[in-house]
Amino acid sequence: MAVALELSNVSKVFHKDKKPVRAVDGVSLSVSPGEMVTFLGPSGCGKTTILRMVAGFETPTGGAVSIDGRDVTNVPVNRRDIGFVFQNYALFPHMSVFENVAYGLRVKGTGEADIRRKVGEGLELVGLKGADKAFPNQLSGGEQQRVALARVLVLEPKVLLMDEPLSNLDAKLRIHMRTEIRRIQKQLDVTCLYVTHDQGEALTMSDRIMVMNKGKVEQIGPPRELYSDPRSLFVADFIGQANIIPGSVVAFDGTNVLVSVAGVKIGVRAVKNASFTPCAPAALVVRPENLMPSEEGMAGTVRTATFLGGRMEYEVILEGGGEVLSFDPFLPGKKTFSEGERIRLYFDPSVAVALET
Amino acid sequence: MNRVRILVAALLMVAMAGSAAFASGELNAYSIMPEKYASQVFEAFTAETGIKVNFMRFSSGEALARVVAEKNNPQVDVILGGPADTYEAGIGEGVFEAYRPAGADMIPEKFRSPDNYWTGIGIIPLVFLTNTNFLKEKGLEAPVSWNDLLDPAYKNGLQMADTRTSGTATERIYSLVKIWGEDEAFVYQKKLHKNIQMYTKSGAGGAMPIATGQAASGIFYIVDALDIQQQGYPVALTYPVEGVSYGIEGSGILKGAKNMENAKKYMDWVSSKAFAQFIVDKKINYIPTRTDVEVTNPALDLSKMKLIEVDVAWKGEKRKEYVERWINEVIK
Amino acid sequence: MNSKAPLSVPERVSPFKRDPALLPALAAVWVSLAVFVLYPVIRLFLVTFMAEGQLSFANLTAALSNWYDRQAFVNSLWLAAAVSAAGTLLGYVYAFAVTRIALPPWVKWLLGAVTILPLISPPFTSSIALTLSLGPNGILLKLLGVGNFNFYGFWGTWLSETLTYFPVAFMTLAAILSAVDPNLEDAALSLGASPGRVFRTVTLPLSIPGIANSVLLLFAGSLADFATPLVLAGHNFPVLPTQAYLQITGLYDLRGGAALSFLLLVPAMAVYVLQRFWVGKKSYVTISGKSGARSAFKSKGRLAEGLVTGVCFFVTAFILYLYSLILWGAMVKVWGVDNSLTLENFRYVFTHGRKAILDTLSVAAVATPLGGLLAVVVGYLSQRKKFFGNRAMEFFSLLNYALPGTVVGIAYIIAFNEKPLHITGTMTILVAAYMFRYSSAGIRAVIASLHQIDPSVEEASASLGASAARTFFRVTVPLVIPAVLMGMRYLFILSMTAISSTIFLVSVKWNLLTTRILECMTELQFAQACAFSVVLILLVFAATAVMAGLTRLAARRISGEGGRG
Repeated sequence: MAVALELSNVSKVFHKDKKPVRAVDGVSLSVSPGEMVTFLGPSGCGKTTILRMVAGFETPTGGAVSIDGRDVTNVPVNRRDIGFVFQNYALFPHMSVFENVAYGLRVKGTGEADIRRKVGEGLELVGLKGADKAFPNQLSGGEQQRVALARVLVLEPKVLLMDEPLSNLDAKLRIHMRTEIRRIQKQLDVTCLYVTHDQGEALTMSDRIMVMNKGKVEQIGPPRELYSDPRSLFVADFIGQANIIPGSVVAFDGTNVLVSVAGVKIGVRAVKNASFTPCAPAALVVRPENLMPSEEGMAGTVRTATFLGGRMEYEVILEGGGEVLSFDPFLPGKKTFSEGERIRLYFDPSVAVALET
Repeated sequence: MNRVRILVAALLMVAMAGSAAFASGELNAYSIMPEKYASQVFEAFTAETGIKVNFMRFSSGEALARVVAEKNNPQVDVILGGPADTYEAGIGEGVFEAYRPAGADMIPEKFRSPDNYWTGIGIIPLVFLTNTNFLKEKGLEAPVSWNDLLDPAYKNGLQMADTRTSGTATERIYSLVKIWGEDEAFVYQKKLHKNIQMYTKSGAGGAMPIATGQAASGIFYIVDALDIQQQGYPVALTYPVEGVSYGIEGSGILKGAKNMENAKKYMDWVSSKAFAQFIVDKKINYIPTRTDVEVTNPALDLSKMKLIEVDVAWKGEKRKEYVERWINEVIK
Repeated sequence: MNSKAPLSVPERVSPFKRDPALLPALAAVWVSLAVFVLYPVIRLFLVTFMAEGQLSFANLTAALSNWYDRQAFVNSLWLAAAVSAAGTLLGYVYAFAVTRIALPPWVKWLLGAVTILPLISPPFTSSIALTLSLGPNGILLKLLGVGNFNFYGFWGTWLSETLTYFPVAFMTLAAILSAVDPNLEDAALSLGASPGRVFRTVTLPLSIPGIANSVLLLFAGSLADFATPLVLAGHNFPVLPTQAYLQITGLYDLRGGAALSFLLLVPAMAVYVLQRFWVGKKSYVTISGKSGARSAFKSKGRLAEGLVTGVCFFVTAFILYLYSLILWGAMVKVWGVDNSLTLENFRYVFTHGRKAILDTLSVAAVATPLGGLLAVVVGYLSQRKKFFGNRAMEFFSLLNYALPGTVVGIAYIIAFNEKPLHITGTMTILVAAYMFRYSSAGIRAVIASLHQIDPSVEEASASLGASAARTFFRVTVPLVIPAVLMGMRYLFILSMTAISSTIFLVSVKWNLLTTRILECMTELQFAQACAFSVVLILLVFAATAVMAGLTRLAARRISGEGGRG
């Protein structure tokens, strides 16, 4: 049975060298039952701290955490009914895989037969059937991570909390594991909070992403919304690659805005809840894949041209100043540009969004 | 958790067992007499009376420091051996119990505390102990005068006790003061200091180095010197013509002794003729204080040496002053 | 239950409520630290600074105005500096030989094994043998034809202490040097540096924290050493610990002794604070865990290698010679006169010394597990629980070790010789002295191993529903067991061999082997002293071998460190 989870205005102040540091600053979030929410942000943005407060490893300085409608702000970790998966797996090195997975069941006082059955099922779920006699140090990183997952899942926690669980794995395994985790999460229908600094992980796995910066929430939303309609330059830049093209506001009607960029007037979508005033500076966010070489558009000079197989990547210095990135799908016979060559770049105004600066 | 609690409790109980009250039928003692003698003495006492003895050996200073520190809750009942002036100092601290043992009449008064706080069980004159190989090598005769030790041949060759810790050392000063007077005595010691290799912590400490030839000569109580000779080391024992003072080896009961009856039995026994005969037979080289026991060893023959009589109370009075003078005038 | 109400101002729950075992554990540790560490030191202060019921510096100025005591203060510092310099140098040479020179494995084993001898023998064992060798008319002096050299005083004490303490430097430095990645030296060599330059610019600078630590450890060790100067320093080189002892036992002057030991406490505390807050903070070597393939030993230049190896061989041979001399001394009838072999001395040890042997073993056997328990609890609380005063707890738990034994012994007799805590003359006082003085190694080892165990391993246990106590006993304790056993081994060795603090604490009921040895030495029973030493060394060796076996067994179960696996 999946449960809801709620953070109300949660703050955490640490003291470093006698000075208070607001690691988490007034974060509120409602998570629906069975939802998977990813916390994304650069290191030190407070995402892990929030997760640890939900788990109960840290006590909030202000605000409250509730799970399934019950305030758990001051409930000790071991009575919260959560499952926590650690970045470094945190397997007990002195116990076998079986004992690691059985640990929580033993705490609960589960009978020996049930333990054996559940551990077997748990290991099977993560694809480690038959590894129960091994010790953690005899397993690869990926296998250790699966044991850590199984150890949590056998307890059927109300909430699954995962702290960068894949960051110690190599790239290929990481990609495999993220679909695996998502599959299990959906299969068990468990509410899940997932911390990562890897946008690829966040985009592929989550129902919603919460982007954080310096202890505050920048934006919460489904992956596609975040990508297409970033609310801030930070989000635009942090998720995917973004060209930030400076311009100035000509007119604004509440949803669309007319922006002058290098003398050209372009009508684009305005960011939600914006209040553009004419002549104020604005920034257009255009994804590199939406900025393509063309007969018309902004003129510039190619600084570097890189062939990446599927596409060409151009770094272009614009005539009006500024530098942009353009991805052009590679097709045999299509014209490619080389370094120093003049180029024009075009984008469809409907893909751009204007932000206040 | 519980298992740990039980473990801790068990360990604490073992630890506490050590502090359990002393059982009766026991006697606890500090011995200032060397361990090898004390163990024989106490064995004989146990054989005689059936009273079991626990004891530890300390130098006189340590033993006194301990009984003074433990005054309010004495850890032992009696002290065996040790110079009478140590006992006199202890009387000042109020640590001794007066008891006149059964055999006291046969012990001359000068070998007993006037107030019965201690009883002399043996006397020990100072003597020169010299390595005979050293003498042969240097073509010297064994020293027969205090001044012989000033000979440059002894340079870096003398070991004797440190005044701060040893009764033997203070006895040495008493002898010198009685022979030459205070100032002259310290002038002599300053000269003697030039030949000193090392001042040892205990009175007997220098005897073994002399026996093995590490050192040439030194001044000791006869009991320690004779022991070395009896072990077979090449040493000569000589008495100086100017004379020597002697120590009285005492014994006494501590105030508040937990086994008072046994302590009294012990005092009676060490004052008995049986005890005096025992130390003579066992070659424990104290000259018995009892007048009714024959000494067989010629080195212990009082008539062969010039003895200087020194009042025990005077020793006790002067000790601290002389120790400080020694630190500031001799070894500085 | 509505979910809005509690979201207003959540009441803060104290950590004690979250973890019900925390408060009793904290209280137990603080009470015992207060009684056995703080209280005695405070009593020592009071005795030193109170005269006739008033605050006064009279006792201290009396000690300082006495030329002999002043000399002792200067000598103590000078001796400690000389010993720590020489010992660290020698330790470095040994560590370099073992970690950086291609010597056959058995040679390395021998070098390591021989340095264990001084560590497990009572502190004055080498003094006996040294006196016989280099003392007046000593065997070696005769052999070398050197006459009339006065060994007593600075030189004898210095030599003996250096031999006693350099293994500590060796162990500290070998750990550091073997953690310095040889790839760094290879890199320097490949950049064209000569072996000498590599040493000067890479190896040496990287080992500086180890050197600093070793210098401080040895300085503290020598400063506190009581037995060696008692036997070897003689009258012309007084040092504070012996002076304090003589003041009390010779002049019956407890106040004066307390004042002298207070003088000793000042430099000892300075060293302790330096070590904790300066050296302790310096990060040593980054242990990446992913060090490259073990580099083959590169030649360090024939001359340098020859010199280092030569010094090691010479010192090792010398130590072996000294210990053979003790064994020999224990087996002959009359040293230097009748050299026929006998077991009489051992018979003496097992009859007259039987009680001391049993007492010593009992005290060590009780102190060792209690000290181990203390180490786990203090290490865990100070390292893992955040509460006010946990740094202070760690500081005080290590304080008794930092204080010279003489100071601790004197403080204990002052504090525990009267009501309400009258425990002089009991086993308790000996056990307490050892437990609170020598758990330090265990506490440090536990803290170090907790450093290596990621807290997430314990958090994982809590998040799986385990209570704090269950987490502690099922996860933390098994993981720190090797460290605890190591600490217990150390505690056991010191409980068997220490003398400086307990010489004041032994009693008729509870006597110790070390005091018996010292007594034999002052009582001309040289052969018995040797026999006692041999027996003691064998006992310690056997017991520590058993404990080392246990440690290895425990460590094998936890191969790999922390959660990294």
